[in-house]
Amino acid sequence: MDPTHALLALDAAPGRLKLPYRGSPGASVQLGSVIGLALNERRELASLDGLTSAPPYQKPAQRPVLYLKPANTHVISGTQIALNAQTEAVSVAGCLGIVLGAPLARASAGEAARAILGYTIAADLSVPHDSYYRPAIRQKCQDGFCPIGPWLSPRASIGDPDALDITVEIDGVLAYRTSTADLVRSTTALLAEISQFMTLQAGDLILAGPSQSPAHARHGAHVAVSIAAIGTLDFSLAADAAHAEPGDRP
Amino acid sequence: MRRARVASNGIIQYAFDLGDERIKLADGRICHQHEVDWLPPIEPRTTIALGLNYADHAKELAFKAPSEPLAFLKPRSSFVGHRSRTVRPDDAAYMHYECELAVVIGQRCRNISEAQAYQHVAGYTVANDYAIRDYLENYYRPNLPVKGRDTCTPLGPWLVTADEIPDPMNLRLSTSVNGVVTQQGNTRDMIFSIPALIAWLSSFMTLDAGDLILTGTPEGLADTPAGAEVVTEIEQVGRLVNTIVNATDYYAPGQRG
Repeated sequence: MDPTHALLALDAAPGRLKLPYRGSPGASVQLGSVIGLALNERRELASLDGLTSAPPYQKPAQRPVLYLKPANTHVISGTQIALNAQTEAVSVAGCLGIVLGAPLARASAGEAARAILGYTIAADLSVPHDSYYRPAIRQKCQDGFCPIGPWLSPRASIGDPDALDITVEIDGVLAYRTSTADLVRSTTALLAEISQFMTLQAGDLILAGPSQSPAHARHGAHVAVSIAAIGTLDFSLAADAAHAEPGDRP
Repeated sequence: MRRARVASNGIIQYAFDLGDERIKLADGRICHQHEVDWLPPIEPRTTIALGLNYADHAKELAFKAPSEPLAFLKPRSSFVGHRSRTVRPDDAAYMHYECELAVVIGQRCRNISEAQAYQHVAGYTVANDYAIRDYLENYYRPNLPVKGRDTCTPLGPWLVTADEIPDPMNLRLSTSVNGVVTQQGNTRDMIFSIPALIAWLSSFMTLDAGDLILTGTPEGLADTPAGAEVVTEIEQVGRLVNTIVNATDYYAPGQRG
Protein backbone atom coordinates (compact mmCIF):
# COMPACT_ATOMS: atom_id res chain seq x y z
CA MET A 1 0.00 0.00 0.00
CA ASP A 2 1.31 3.48 -0.71
CA PRO A 3 1.93 5.40 2.51
CA THR A 4 -0.76 8.07 2.14
CA HIS A 5 -3.41 5.50 1.28
CA ALA A 6 -2.28 3.31 4.20
CA LEU A 7 -2.53 6.10 6.76
CA LEU A 8 -5.92 7.26 5.47
CA ALA A 9 -7.21 3.68 5.53
CA LEU A 10 -6.18 3.33 9.17
CA ASP A 11 -7.86 6.62 10.07
CA ALA A 12 -11.05 5.28 8.48
CA ALA A 13 -10.84 1.80 10.05
CA PRO A 14 -14.21 0.05 10.04
CA GLY A 15 -16.65 0.66 12.87
CA ARG A 16 -18.11 -1.82 15.30
CA LEU A 17 -21.49 -3.39 15.58
CA LYS A 18 -24.23 -1.15 16.98
CA LEU A 19 -26.99 -2.68 19.06
CA PRO A 20 -30.38 -0.96 19.43
CA TYR A 21 -30.90 0.03 23.07
CA ARG A 22 -34.45 -0.39 24.32
CA GLY A 23 -33.90 1.92 27.28
CA SER A 24 -34.15 5.03 25.14
CA PRO A 25 -36.08 5.54 21.87
CA GLY A 26 -33.77 5.53 18.82
CA ALA A 27 -30.65 4.93 20.90
CA SER A 28 -27.99 2.38 20.11
CA VAL A 29 -24.83 1.17 21.79
CA GLN A 30 -21.60 0.52 19.94
CA LEU A 31 -20.08 -2.74 21.08
CA GLY A 32 -16.45 -2.95 22.15
CA SER A 33 -14.72 -6.19 23.04
CA VAL A 34 -16.69 -9.43 23.26
CA ILE A 35 -15.31 -11.75 25.92
CA GLY A 36 -16.36 -15.34 26.56
CA LEU A 37 -15.66 -17.91 29.26
CA ALA A 38 -15.14 -21.55 28.45
CA LEU A 39 -15.93 -24.28 30.99
CA ASN A 40 -18.16 -21.91 32.96
CA GLU A 41 -21.33 -23.91 32.37
CA ARG A 42 -21.47 -26.95 34.65
CA ARG A 43 -22.43 -29.41 31.90
CA GLU A 44 -19.64 -28.16 29.64
CA LEU A 45 -17.17 -28.40 32.51
CA ALA A 46 -18.38 -31.95 33.20
CA SER A 47 -17.39 -32.91 29.63
CA LEU A 48 -13.78 -32.85 30.90
CA ASP A 49 -14.55 -35.05 33.94
CA GLY A 50 -11.67 -37.43 34.52
CA LEU A 51 -9.45 -35.62 31.99
CA THR A 52 -8.26 -32.54 33.83
CA SER A 53 -5.71 -34.30 36.01
CA ALA A 54 -3.98 -35.82 32.95
CA PRO A 55 -1.93 -34.23 30.14
CA PRO A 56 -2.27 -31.77 28.58
CA TYR A 57 -4.30 -30.13 31.35
CA GLN A 58 -2.53 -31.56 34.45
CA LYS A 59 -5.01 -29.95 36.83
CA PRO A 60 -8.41 -28.25 36.84
CA ALA A 61 -8.41 -24.60 35.71
CA GLN A 62 -7.99 -22.24 38.65
CA ARG A 63 -8.65 -19.01 36.73
CA PRO A 64 -11.50 -18.20 34.34
CA VAL A 65 -10.82 -19.70 30.89
CA LEU A 66 -11.32 -16.58 28.81
CA TYR A 67 -11.36 -15.98 25.09
CA LEU A 68 -12.21 -13.12 22.76
CA LYS A 69 -14.66 -13.07 19.86
CA PRO A 70 -13.07 -10.55 17.46
CA ALA A 71 -14.88 -7.85 15.45
CA ASN A 72 -15.17 -9.97 12.28
CA THR A 73 -17.39 -12.41 14.19
CA HIS A 74 -19.94 -9.80 15.34
CA VAL A 75 -23.16 -9.73 13.32
CA ILE A 76 -26.62 -8.52 14.26
CA SER A 77 -29.63 -10.80 14.71
CA GLY A 78 -31.25 -11.73 11.41
CA THR A 79 -27.98 -12.19 9.51
CA GLN A 80 -27.39 -15.04 7.11
CA ILE A 81 -23.98 -16.39 8.13
CA ALA A 82 -21.81 -18.10 5.52
CA LEU A 83 -19.96 -21.21 6.62
CA ASN A 84 -16.67 -22.26 5.07
CA ALA A 85 -17.02 -25.13 2.63
CA GLN A 86 -14.89 -27.24 5.03
CA THR A 87 -17.22 -26.56 7.97
CA GLU A 88 -19.95 -29.21 8.10
CA ALA A 89 -21.60 -28.06 11.31
CA VAL A 90 -21.13 -25.49 14.05
CA SER A 91 -21.78 -25.73 17.74
CA VAL A 92 -24.34 -23.13 18.83
CA ALA A 93 -23.75 -21.95 22.39
CA GLY A 94 -26.61 -19.68 23.41
CA CYS A 95 -25.50 -17.06 25.92
CA LEU A 96 -26.77 -14.17 27.95
CA GLY A 97 -24.81 -11.13 26.78
CA ILE A 98 -23.93 -8.67 29.54
CA VAL A 99 -23.21 -5.15 28.23
CA LEU A 100 -21.41 -2.62 30.37
CA GLY A 101 -22.43 1.01 30.61
CA ALA A 102 -19.34 2.19 32.48
CA PRO A 103 -15.69 1.17 32.81
CA LEU A 104 -14.88 -1.52 35.34
CA ALA A 105 -11.47 -2.25 36.87
CA ARG A 106 -10.40 -4.09 40.02
CA ALA A 107 -14.06 -4.14 40.97
CA SER A 108 -16.20 -5.92 43.55
CA ALA A 109 -19.28 -7.88 42.51
CA GLY A 110 -21.42 -4.98 43.76
CA GLU A 111 -19.55 -2.47 41.63
CA ALA A 112 -19.85 -4.84 38.68
CA ALA A 113 -23.63 -5.06 39.10
CA ARG A 114 -23.91 -1.26 38.99
CA ALA A 115 -21.77 -1.01 35.82
CA ILE A 116 -24.13 -3.21 33.79
CA LEU A 117 -26.14 -1.23 31.23
CA GLY A 118 -28.25 -4.13 30.05
CA TYR A 119 -28.54 -7.57 28.56
CA THR A 120 -28.75 -9.06 25.11
CA ILE A 121 -28.54 -12.52 23.55
CA ALA A 122 -25.52 -13.90 21.75
CA ALA A 123 -24.69 -17.19 20.10
CA ASP A 124 -21.08 -18.26 20.35
CA LEU A 125 -20.52 -20.36 17.23
CA SER A 126 -17.57 -22.74 17.03
CA VAL A 127 -16.29 -25.50 14.86
CA PRO A 128 -16.74 -28.26 17.47
CA HIS A 129 -13.47 -29.04 19.25
CA ASP A 130 -12.74 -31.49 22.07
CA SER A 131 -9.45 -29.99 23.20
CA TYR A 132 -9.30 -26.87 25.32
CA TYR A 133 -5.50 -26.87 25.40
CA ARG A 134 -4.71 -24.26 22.73
CA PRO A 135 -6.69 -21.10 21.91
CA ALA A 136 -9.41 -22.12 19.44
CA ILE A 137 -8.81 -19.29 16.98
CA ARG A 138 -9.62 -21.12 13.76
CA GLN A 139 -12.59 -22.81 15.44
CA LYS A 140 -14.10 -19.69 17.06
CA CYS A 141 -13.06 -16.62 15.03
CA GLN A 142 -14.60 -17.20 11.62
CA ASP A 143 -16.64 -14.40 10.07
CA GLY A 144 -20.11 -14.12 11.57
CA PHE A 145 -19.40 -16.58 14.40
CA CYS A 146 -20.93 -14.31 17.05
CA PRO A 147 -24.48 -13.23 16.16
CA ILE A 148 -25.84 -10.75 18.72
CA GLY A 149 -29.20 -9.14 19.42
CA PRO A 150 -31.84 -8.39 18.47
CA TRP A 151 -31.46 -5.56 20.97
CA LEU A 152 -30.09 -4.52 24.33
CA SER A 153 -32.65 -4.62 27.15
CA PRO A 154 -32.06 -2.26 30.09
CA ARG A 155 -30.78 -3.84 33.27
CA ALA A 156 -33.89 -2.92 35.25
CA SER A 157 -36.17 -4.70 32.76
CA ILE A 158 -34.63 -8.10 33.48
CA GLY A 159 -35.26 -9.97 36.72
CA ASP A 160 -32.48 -11.99 38.27
CA PRO A 161 -29.76 -12.40 35.58
CA ASP A 162 -28.56 -15.53 37.34
CA ALA A 163 -31.84 -17.39 36.78
CA LEU A 164 -32.56 -17.03 33.06
CA ASP A 165 -33.41 -20.01 30.86
CA ILE A 166 -31.68 -20.04 27.47
CA THR A 167 -33.05 -22.20 24.66
CA VAL A 168 -31.54 -23.01 21.26
CA GLU A 169 -33.92 -24.12 18.51
CA ILE A 170 -32.66 -25.39 15.17
CA ASP A 171 -35.28 -25.41 12.41
CA GLY A 172 -37.98 -25.07 15.03
CA VAL A 173 -36.82 -28.03 17.14
CA LEU A 174 -35.45 -27.55 20.65
CA ALA A 175 -31.75 -28.49 20.43
CA TYR A 176 -30.42 -27.32 23.79
CA ARG A 177 -31.66 -25.78 26.98
CA THR A 178 -29.53 -24.30 29.72
CA SER A 179 -29.78 -21.60 32.37
CA THR A 180 -27.57 -18.91 33.79
CA ALA A 181 -28.28 -20.66 37.12
CA ASP A 182 -26.05 -23.48 35.83
CA LEU A 183 -22.93 -21.31 35.60
CA VAL A 184 -19.91 -21.84 37.85
CA ARG A 185 -19.42 -18.07 38.17
CA SER A 186 -22.43 -15.79 38.53
CA THR A 187 -22.78 -12.84 36.16
CA THR A 188 -21.39 -10.27 38.58
CA ALA A 189 -18.69 -12.61 39.94
CA LEU A 190 -17.28 -13.20 36.47
CA LEU A 191 -17.26 -9.46 35.65
CA ALA A 192 -15.47 -8.74 38.91
CA GLU A 193 -12.93 -11.50 38.33
CA ILE A 194 -12.11 -10.38 34.76
CA SER A 195 -11.78 -6.78 35.96
CA GLN A 196 -8.98 -7.75 38.34
CA PHE A 197 -6.55 -7.80 35.42
CA MET A 198 -8.40 -6.41 32.38
CA THR A 199 -10.17 -3.06 32.41
CA LEU A 200 -13.59 -3.45 30.85
CA GLN A 201 -15.04 -0.51 28.96
CA ALA A 202 -18.56 0.74 28.35
CA GLY A 203 -19.88 -1.23 25.39
CA ASP A 204 -17.91 -4.36 26.20
CA LEU A 205 -20.02 -7.51 26.05
CA ILE A 206 -19.38 -10.54 28.25
CA LEU A 207 -20.88 -13.91 27.32
CA ALA A 208 -22.52 -15.77 30.19
CA GLY A 209 -23.29 -19.30 29.09
CA PRO A 210 -21.60 -22.30 27.56
CA SER A 211 -18.79 -21.85 25.01
CA GLN A 212 -19.82 -24.99 23.14
CA SER A 213 -23.00 -27.01 23.26
CA PRO A 214 -24.38 -30.23 21.81
CA ALA A 215 -26.64 -28.14 19.55
CA HIS A 216 -24.96 -28.45 16.14
CA ALA A 217 -26.33 -26.62 13.12
CA ARG A 218 -25.54 -27.24 9.44
CA HIS A 219 -25.75 -25.32 6.17
CA GLY A 220 -29.30 -24.18 5.56
CA ALA A 221 -30.31 -24.28 9.22
CA HIS A 222 -32.37 -21.54 10.82
CA VAL A 223 -31.39 -21.00 14.45
CA ALA A 224 -33.27 -19.20 17.23
CA VAL A 225 -31.80 -18.49 20.66
CA SER A 226 -34.32 -17.27 23.21
CA ILE A 227 -34.26 -15.77 26.68
CA ALA A 228 -37.85 -15.00 27.63
CA ALA A 229 -37.13 -11.74 29.43
CA ILE A 230 -35.17 -10.36 26.44
CA GLY A 231 -36.47 -11.88 23.22
CA THR A 232 -35.16 -14.10 20.42
CA LEU A 233 -31.91 -13.89 18.48
CA ASP A 234 -32.17 -15.55 15.11
CA PHE A 235 -29.85 -16.27 12.22
CA SER A 236 -29.41 -18.73 9.41
CA LEU A 237 -26.43 -20.60 8.04
CA ALA A 238 -25.58 -20.56 4.35
CA ALA A 239 -22.87 -21.95 2.13
CA ASP A 240 -19.86 -19.72 1.46
CA ALA A 241 -21.17 -18.40 -1.90
CA ALA A 242 -23.44 -15.95 -0.07
CA HIS A 243 -20.53 -14.93 2.13
CA ALA A 244 -21.60 -12.43 4.78
CA GLU A 245 -19.15 -9.56 5.20
CA PRO A 246 -18.51 -8.58 8.80
CA GLY A 247 -19.64 -5.21 10.07
CA ASP A 248 -22.76 -3.20 10.67
CA ARG A 249 -26.01 -4.57 9.33
CA PRO A 250 -29.55 -3.35 9.56
CA MET B 1 6.47 7.96 6.96
CA ARG B 2 7.02 7.39 10.67
CA ARG B 3 3.89 8.53 12.46
CA ALA B 4 3.19 8.48 16.18
CA ARG B 5 0.13 9.40 18.23
CA VAL B 6 0.88 11.58 21.21
CA ALA B 7 -0.88 13.78 23.73
CA SER B 8 0.57 17.26 24.02
CA ASN B 9 -0.90 20.44 25.48
CA GLY B 10 -4.25 18.74 25.93
CA ILE B 11 -4.52 17.57 22.33
CA ILE B 12 -4.27 14.01 21.04
CA GLN B 13 -2.43 14.41 17.77
CA TYR B 14 -0.18 12.76 15.25
CA ALA B 15 3.56 13.38 15.44
CA PHE B 16 6.28 12.67 12.91
CA ASP B 17 9.86 11.55 13.43
CA LEU B 18 12.51 14.21 12.76
CA GLY B 19 15.40 12.04 14.04
CA ASP B 20 17.68 12.92 16.97
CA GLU B 21 14.76 12.21 19.35
CA ARG B 22 12.87 15.21 17.97
CA ILE B 23 9.32 15.07 16.67
CA LYS B 24 7.10 17.42 14.72
CA LEU B 25 3.54 17.61 16.01
CA ALA B 26 0.53 17.93 13.75
CA ASP B 27 -0.08 21.40 15.25
CA GLY B 28 3.29 22.56 13.90
CA ARG B 29 5.38 22.50 17.08
CA ILE B 30 8.70 20.72 17.27
CA CYS B 31 9.39 18.86 20.55
CA HIS B 32 11.79 16.48 22.14
CA GLN B 33 10.49 12.90 22.60
CA HIS B 34 10.39 13.44 26.37
CA GLU B 35 8.03 16.40 26.16
CA VAL B 36 4.93 14.48 25.09
CA ASP B 37 2.88 11.50 26.28
CA TRP B 38 3.08 8.66 23.80
CA LEU B 39 0.00 6.67 22.83
CA PRO B 40 -0.02 3.43 20.86
CA PRO B 41 0.48 4.49 17.20
CA ILE B 42 -2.81 2.86 16.23
CA GLU B 43 -5.84 1.81 18.23
CA PRO B 44 -5.78 -1.88 17.39
CA ARG B 45 -9.07 -3.39 16.24
CA THR B 46 -8.39 -7.13 16.40
CA THR B 47 -4.93 -8.22 17.58
CA ILE B 48 -3.68 -11.69 16.76
CA ALA B 49 -0.46 -12.76 18.46
CA LEU B 50 1.73 -15.73 17.65
CA GLY B 51 3.28 -18.13 20.11
CA LEU B 52 6.33 -20.25 19.39
CA ASN B 53 6.97 -18.64 15.99
CA TYR B 54 10.76 -18.72 16.22
CA ALA B 55 12.36 -22.16 16.29
CA ASP B 56 14.99 -21.14 18.85
CA HIS B 57 12.32 -19.75 21.20
CA ALA B 58 10.14 -22.87 20.87
CA LYS B 59 13.19 -24.93 21.83
CA GLU B 60 13.90 -22.59 24.75
CA LEU B 61 10.40 -23.28 26.08
CA ALA B 62 10.83 -27.02 25.42
CA PHE B 63 8.22 -27.16 22.67
CA LYS B 64 8.65 -28.55 19.22
CA ALA B 65 7.89 -26.09 16.44
CA PRO B 66 4.17 -26.15 15.64
CA SER B 67 2.81 -27.45 12.32
CA GLU B 68 -0.01 -24.87 12.33
CA PRO B 69 0.47 -21.34 13.73
CA LEU B 70 -0.25 -21.09 17.45
CA ALA B 71 -2.34 -17.93 17.55
CA PHE B 72 -4.12 -16.14 20.36
CA LEU B 73 -5.99 -12.85 20.64
CA LYS B 74 -5.01 -9.83 22.70
CA PRO B 75 -7.56 -7.54 24.37
CA ARG B 76 -7.60 -3.85 23.46
CA SER B 77 -7.20 -2.96 27.12
CA SER B 78 -3.66 -4.36 27.27
CA PHE B 79 -1.97 -1.73 25.06
CA VAL B 80 0.12 1.19 26.27
CA GLY B 81 2.40 3.57 24.38
CA HIS B 82 6.12 4.27 24.23
CA ARG B 83 7.76 5.39 27.49
CA SER B 84 4.88 4.09 29.60
CA ARG B 85 4.88 1.86 32.63
CA THR B 86 3.88 -1.79 32.76
CA VAL B 87 2.55 -3.35 35.93
CA ARG B 88 4.23 -6.35 37.52
CA PRO B 89 1.77 -8.17 39.81
CA ASP B 90 3.04 -8.29 43.38
CA ASP B 91 2.95 -12.12 43.45
CA ALA B 92 4.71 -12.65 40.10
CA ALA B 93 7.97 -14.63 40.26
CA TYR B 94 8.63 -14.65 36.50
CA MET B 95 7.51 -11.89 34.19
CA HIS B 96 9.31 -11.61 30.85
CA TYR B 97 9.26 -9.32 27.81
CA GLU B 98 8.82 -10.49 24.23
CA CYS B 99 10.13 -8.23 21.47
CA GLU B 100 7.92 -8.68 18.40
CA LEU B 101 7.52 -7.17 14.96
CA ALA B 102 3.90 -5.95 14.75
CA VAL B 103 2.27 -5.95 11.31
CA VAL B 104 -0.53 -3.43 10.78
CA ILE B 105 -3.18 -4.45 8.24
CA GLY B 106 -4.30 -1.59 5.99
CA GLN B 107 -7.25 -2.98 4.07
CA ARG B 108 -9.87 -5.68 4.23
CA CYS B 109 -8.60 -9.05 3.09
CA ARG B 110 -10.10 -12.51 2.92
CA ASN B 111 -8.72 -15.64 1.30
CA ILE B 112 -5.59 -14.05 -0.06
CA SER B 113 -2.46 -15.83 -1.19
CA GLU B 114 1.00 -15.36 0.25
CA ALA B 115 1.97 -13.60 -2.99
CA GLN B 116 -0.73 -10.94 -2.42
CA ALA B 117 -0.23 -10.59 1.31
CA TYR B 118 2.11 -7.60 1.47
CA GLN B 119 -0.33 -5.53 -0.64
CA HIS B 120 -2.59 -5.44 2.44
CA VAL B 121 0.03 -4.27 4.94
CA ALA B 122 -0.12 -0.60 5.96
CA GLY B 123 3.04 -0.70 8.03
CA TYR B 124 4.93 -1.96 11.04
CA THR B 125 5.60 -1.12 14.64
CA VAL B 126 7.28 -2.70 17.68
CA ALA B 127 5.35 -4.62 20.33
CA ASN B 128 6.52 -5.89 23.68
CA ASP B 129 4.20 -8.78 24.50
CA TYR B 130 4.88 -9.28 28.22
CA ALA B 131 3.92 -12.59 29.86
CA ILE B 132 3.39 -13.41 33.53
CA ARG B 133 4.41 -17.04 33.50
CA ASP B 134 3.18 -17.69 37.07
CA TYR B 135 -0.38 -17.57 35.74
CA LEU B 136 0.04 -20.10 32.92
CA GLU B 137 -2.63 -22.77 32.83
CA ASN B 138 -3.19 -25.45 30.22
CA TYR B 139 -6.55 -24.13 29.03
CA TYR B 140 -6.55 -22.00 25.88
CA ARG B 141 -2.86 -21.61 26.66
CA PRO B 142 -1.39 -18.98 26.68
CA ASN B 143 -4.39 -17.83 28.71
CA LEU B 144 -5.50 -14.23 29.08
CA PRO B 145 -4.32 -13.80 32.70
CA VAL B 146 -0.80 -14.41 31.29
CA LYS B 147 -0.99 -12.42 28.05
CA GLY B 148 -4.00 -10.12 28.29
CA ARG B 149 -3.30 -7.91 31.26
CA ASP B 150 -3.72 -4.15 31.44
CA THR B 151 -0.50 -2.29 30.47
CA CYS B 152 1.27 -5.49 29.41
CA THR B 153 1.52 -4.74 25.68
CA PRO B 154 3.60 -1.63 24.99
CA LEU B 155 3.28 -0.67 21.30
CA GLY B 156 5.23 1.91 19.27
CA PRO B 157 6.79 4.39 19.10
CA TRP B 158 5.85 4.74 15.42
CA LEU B 159 3.70 3.28 12.77
CA VAL B 160 6.32 2.97 10.01
CA THR B 161 4.64 2.73 6.62
CA ALA B 162 5.43 -0.38 4.58
CA ASP B 163 7.33 1.53 1.86
CA GLU B 164 10.09 2.27 4.40
CA ILE B 165 10.67 -1.41 5.23
CA PRO B 166 11.81 -3.11 2.02
CA ASP B 167 12.40 -6.51 3.64
CA PRO B 168 10.44 -7.05 6.86
CA MET B 169 11.66 -10.66 6.91
CA ASN B 170 15.24 -9.59 7.53
CA LEU B 171 15.27 -7.24 10.53
CA ARG B 172 17.38 -7.55 13.66
CA LEU B 173 15.45 -7.56 16.95
CA SER B 174 16.96 -6.98 20.36
CA THR B 175 15.88 -6.39 23.92
CA SER B 176 17.85 -4.87 26.74
CA VAL B 177 17.04 -4.74 30.45
CA ASN B 178 18.70 -1.85 32.27
CA GLY B 179 21.11 -1.45 29.37
CA VAL B 180 22.20 -5.11 29.20
CA VAL B 181 21.27 -6.88 25.96
CA THR B 182 19.35 -10.05 26.84
CA GLN B 183 17.59 -11.01 23.60
CA GLN B 184 18.79 -10.92 20.01
CA GLY B 185 17.28 -12.37 16.89
CA ASN B 186 16.26 -11.74 13.31
CA THR B 187 12.82 -11.82 11.72
CA ARG B 188 14.19 -14.16 9.02
CA ASP B 189 14.02 -16.95 11.64
CA MET B 190 10.23 -16.88 11.93
CA ILE B 191 8.67 -20.30 11.40
CA PHE B 192 5.58 -18.82 9.73
CA SER B 193 6.54 -15.74 7.69
CA ILE B 194 4.44 -12.57 7.52
CA PRO B 195 2.87 -13.59 4.17
CA ALA B 196 2.20 -17.10 5.49
CA LEU B 197 0.48 -15.70 8.59
CA ILE B 198 -1.68 -13.29 6.59
CA ALA B 199 -2.64 -16.06 4.14
CA TRP B 200 -3.44 -18.50 6.97
CA LEU B 201 -5.49 -16.04 9.03
CA SER B 202 -7.37 -14.69 6.02
CA SER B 203 -8.30 -18.26 5.02
CA PHE B 204 -10.81 -18.38 7.88
CA MET B 205 -11.32 -14.79 9.07
CA THR B 206 -11.59 -11.43 7.36
CA LEU B 207 -8.74 -9.11 8.34
CA ASP B 208 -9.44 -5.42 8.24
CA ALA B 209 -7.74 -2.02 8.45
CA GLY B 210 -6.41 -1.55 11.95
CA ASP B 211 -5.94 -5.23 12.68
CA LEU B 212 -2.59 -6.11 14.15
CA ILE B 213 -0.48 -9.27 13.95
CA LEU B 214 2.24 -9.75 16.58
CA THR B 215 4.60 -12.15 14.89
CA GLY B 216 6.28 -13.86 17.85
CA THR B 217 9.61 -13.54 19.61
CA PRO B 218 13.05 -15.18 19.36
CA GLU B 219 14.90 -16.79 22.25
CA GLY B 220 16.41 -14.86 25.13
CA LEU B 221 13.84 -14.44 27.87
CA ALA B 222 14.68 -12.83 31.19
CA ASP B 223 12.79 -11.74 34.27
CA THR B 224 11.90 -8.04 34.49
CA PRO B 225 11.85 -6.79 38.08
CA ALA B 226 10.08 -3.64 39.22
CA GLY B 227 12.10 -0.58 38.25
CA ALA B 228 13.70 -2.23 35.21
CA GLU B 229 13.89 -0.22 32.01
CA VAL B 230 13.12 -2.59 29.15
CA VAL B 231 13.98 -1.51 25.60
CA THR B 232 12.65 -3.58 22.71
CA GLU B 233 14.16 -2.50 19.41
CA ILE B 234 13.72 -3.57 15.81
CA GLU B 235 16.03 -2.33 13.11
CA GLN B 236 14.38 0.28 10.81
CA VAL B 237 11.14 0.12 12.82
CA GLY B 238 11.77 1.62 16.23
CA ARG B 239 13.05 1.55 19.75
CA LEU B 240 10.28 1.05 22.30
CA VAL B 241 11.07 2.00 25.90
CA ASN B 242 9.10 0.72 28.88
CA THR B 243 9.55 0.68 32.65
CA ILE B 244 8.31 -1.99 35.03
CA VAL B 245 6.40 -0.87 38.12
CA ASN B 246 4.99 -3.07 40.85
CA ALA B 247 1.23 -3.19 41.27
CA THR B 248 1.20 -1.80 44.81
CA ASP B 249 3.02 1.35 43.71
CA TYR B 250 1.07 1.71 40.46
CA TYR B 251 -2.32 1.50 42.13
CA ALA B 252 -1.44 3.41 45.29
CA PRO B 253 -3.82 6.39 45.63
CA GLY B 254 -2.25 9.67 44.59
CA GLN B 255 0.37 8.15 42.34
CA ARG B 256 0.99 9.84 39.00
CA GLY B 257 -1.12 8.14 36.30
